[in-house]
Amino acid sequence: MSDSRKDATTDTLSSGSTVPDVTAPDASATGAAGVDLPAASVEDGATAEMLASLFAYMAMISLTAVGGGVIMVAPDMHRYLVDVRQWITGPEFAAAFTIAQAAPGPNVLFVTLIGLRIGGVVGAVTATLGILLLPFLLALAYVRWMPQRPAGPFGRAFRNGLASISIGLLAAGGVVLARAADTGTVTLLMTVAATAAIVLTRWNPVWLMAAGAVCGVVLGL
Amino acid sequence: MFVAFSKTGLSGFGGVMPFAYRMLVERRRWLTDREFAQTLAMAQILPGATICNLAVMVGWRFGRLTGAVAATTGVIVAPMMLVIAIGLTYAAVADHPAVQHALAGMSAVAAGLVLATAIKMARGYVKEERRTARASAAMDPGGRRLRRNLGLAALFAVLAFASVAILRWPLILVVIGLAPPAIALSWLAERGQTGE
Repeated sequence: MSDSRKDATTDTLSSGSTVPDVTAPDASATGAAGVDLPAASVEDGATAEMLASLFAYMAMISLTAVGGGVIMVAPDMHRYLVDVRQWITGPEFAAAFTIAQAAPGPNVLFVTLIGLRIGGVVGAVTATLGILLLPFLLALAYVRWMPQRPAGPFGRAFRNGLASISIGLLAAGGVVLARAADTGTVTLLMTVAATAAIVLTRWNPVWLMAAGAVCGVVLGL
Repeated sequence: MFVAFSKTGLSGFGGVMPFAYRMLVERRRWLTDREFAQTLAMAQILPGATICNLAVMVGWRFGRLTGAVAATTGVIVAPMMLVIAIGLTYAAVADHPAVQHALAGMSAVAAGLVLATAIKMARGYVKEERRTARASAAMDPGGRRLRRNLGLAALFAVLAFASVAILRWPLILVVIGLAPPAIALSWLAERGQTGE
């Protein structure tokens, strides 16, 4: 199935009917103007180049996800995939994140859904391998050569320094997601209520997500 | 090990870690409470998904390379196939208004979950610092060091937040720019604290 989708995309691209081919001469004529054009306006398929740069980006960004979880790289993924590359839209990005949170399994799998949207099943596997490979090798290297955890003052300084940055990055991730999800007063209040519920109670997040879904349907958000 | 980690991966609604704890410490007793906490702390510091790093470390301990690969693929492969199936199903019904409404509501909640996690982490950080300060209260009359440490942490948290959420700088530059001074300054604070 993904093969046929890829073929269709390649056909569209090579037929020259899409943006890049038409505007390329213009861009070269006007100098550097072509830089901010979307790299590809592909709707539901991905070229080999797209997959390669998707993998490269995920591999690079995976190394910055220090201090507990990949959620904090969400703002940068939004910046790169939605704003710079324009491979997926803001709402698609938010949907991928939400579905991964609601589904069982590690939250890192929101990357799988983003890859799925960009390049079908091949894209999903590419993105997932990209985000996992380097941290896997690094963790292996760590357990292989440094079995004891960094203790003492330096270990503590290392953990504390990174922890403070992680907290800031995580909050930034929440704000970026809220900016995408909160389109009105009701959704904004729901975000605030969910935040308060998790901070102040021991309720299971799954029930909050279910309540959010019900609110969405009933209120017609 | 593959089967055990697959089960853990598939059962973790809204975060796998509580299920990993139940499996590793309570059910199979592969780790003690303290070993779990130490492994978890290190898994959080290493880049990448915490649960994957934990899988590598536990897998390596019991089966070297084979164990690490088995645990990691276990925690990822089955959930990944499931999430792809969910994603494809979603793509088929995405245009239905009820699905869009439900997703809009869930997205608003999901953003709240992330914000709440940040707040909880900050709360845990302050608690931990207070505990450390109490343990060495004799060396810190008046709590000046505690306030300085917390101020330092707040400064870097705000800088990281602002540069990503407001200025929208690339994350890799933010981490490269902020991590070394953050670690260096809290190292200096630590040295002061231990009386050197």
